[in-house]
Amino acid sequence: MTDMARSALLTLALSAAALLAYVGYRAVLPENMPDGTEHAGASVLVDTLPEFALEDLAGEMRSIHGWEGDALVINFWATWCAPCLREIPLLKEFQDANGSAGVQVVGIAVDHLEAVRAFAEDMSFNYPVLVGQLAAMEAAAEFGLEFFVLPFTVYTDHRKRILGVHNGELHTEHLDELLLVLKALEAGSMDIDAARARLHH
Amino acid sequence: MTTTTALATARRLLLAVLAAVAVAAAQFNEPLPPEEAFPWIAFAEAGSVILSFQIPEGYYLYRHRFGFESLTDGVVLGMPELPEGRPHVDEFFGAVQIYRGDFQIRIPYLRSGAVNEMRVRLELQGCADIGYCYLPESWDRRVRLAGDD
Repeated sequence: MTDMARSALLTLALSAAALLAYVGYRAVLPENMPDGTEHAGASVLVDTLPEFALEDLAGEMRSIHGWEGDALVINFWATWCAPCLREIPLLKEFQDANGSAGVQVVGIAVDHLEAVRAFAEDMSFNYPVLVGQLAAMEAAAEFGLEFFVLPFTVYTDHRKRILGVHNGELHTEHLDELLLVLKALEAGSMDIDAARARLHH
Repeated sequence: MTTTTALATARRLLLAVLAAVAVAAAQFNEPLPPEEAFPWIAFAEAGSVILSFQIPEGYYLYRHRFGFESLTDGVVLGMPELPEGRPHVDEFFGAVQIYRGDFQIRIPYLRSGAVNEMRVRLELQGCADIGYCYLPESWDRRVRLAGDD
């Protein structure tokens, strides 16, 4: 056998070993993570809302802490992402129904400002949309998220404690679950650890 | 076993291992990291760079979102030969083509001088059926050209 063939087979053997190591690592990972943390990849979700600011559709810088006293539904999305666009009507409906009760949706578009502005003309958002490319990705990193898919949505309670993150498209049952948890937290019938365990997706 | 046969076998097995990693990871009900969702290898054969993919079930790539670039002086890529994709009607973006499963893209190349290796840049973007899309990815790979043409 030539050196090249030996090298190829060695590569294969190492790959197979890597597969076994990977499966073993992923199998034990959840048991090693503290409660209330995000298990996706190497992500560890922070406990409280981080500080960052992004441009809104008018080009004004807006702090993510600009909605004092509200629980937040922070939805990361992009105009090129079909599942992201599919969930926007649901988020608008949710905002209509719950905005006056102190639950605020904030969209964060990981996209070009012009593309989002053009899209927003047709969509008529009833919640604020912040926009950025690298800045929006850095904002996601502030949450402790390893970030490679859209959409994803971060929930906070009224005290800006992070409750959980939902990867992928939102459906009604996810937001219904959030409302139940927020009510239980306010009523004192659920503690923060139980809330995080409930909303971890 | 000849060197050529051994290399071809190793390539096929390596891609199978990458696909097996993706299948194993999918059991954990999390978004796969992009390199596991869209595993690929690159090699040169008969004057072309071949990009070979083995996409796990439930994931797909958009045909129109592919991009290719030579990062090596002295190696010029020709027109990529993309296979016909599967028709996919997107509710927002209309009729597009997507790739699932196994497929290859062939890109003819021309080289000048004694260039034995090149770096190829691949841009792609895809989604998962479960309801999320990946950010556009840009990946570089080295491809050995020596003795290929």
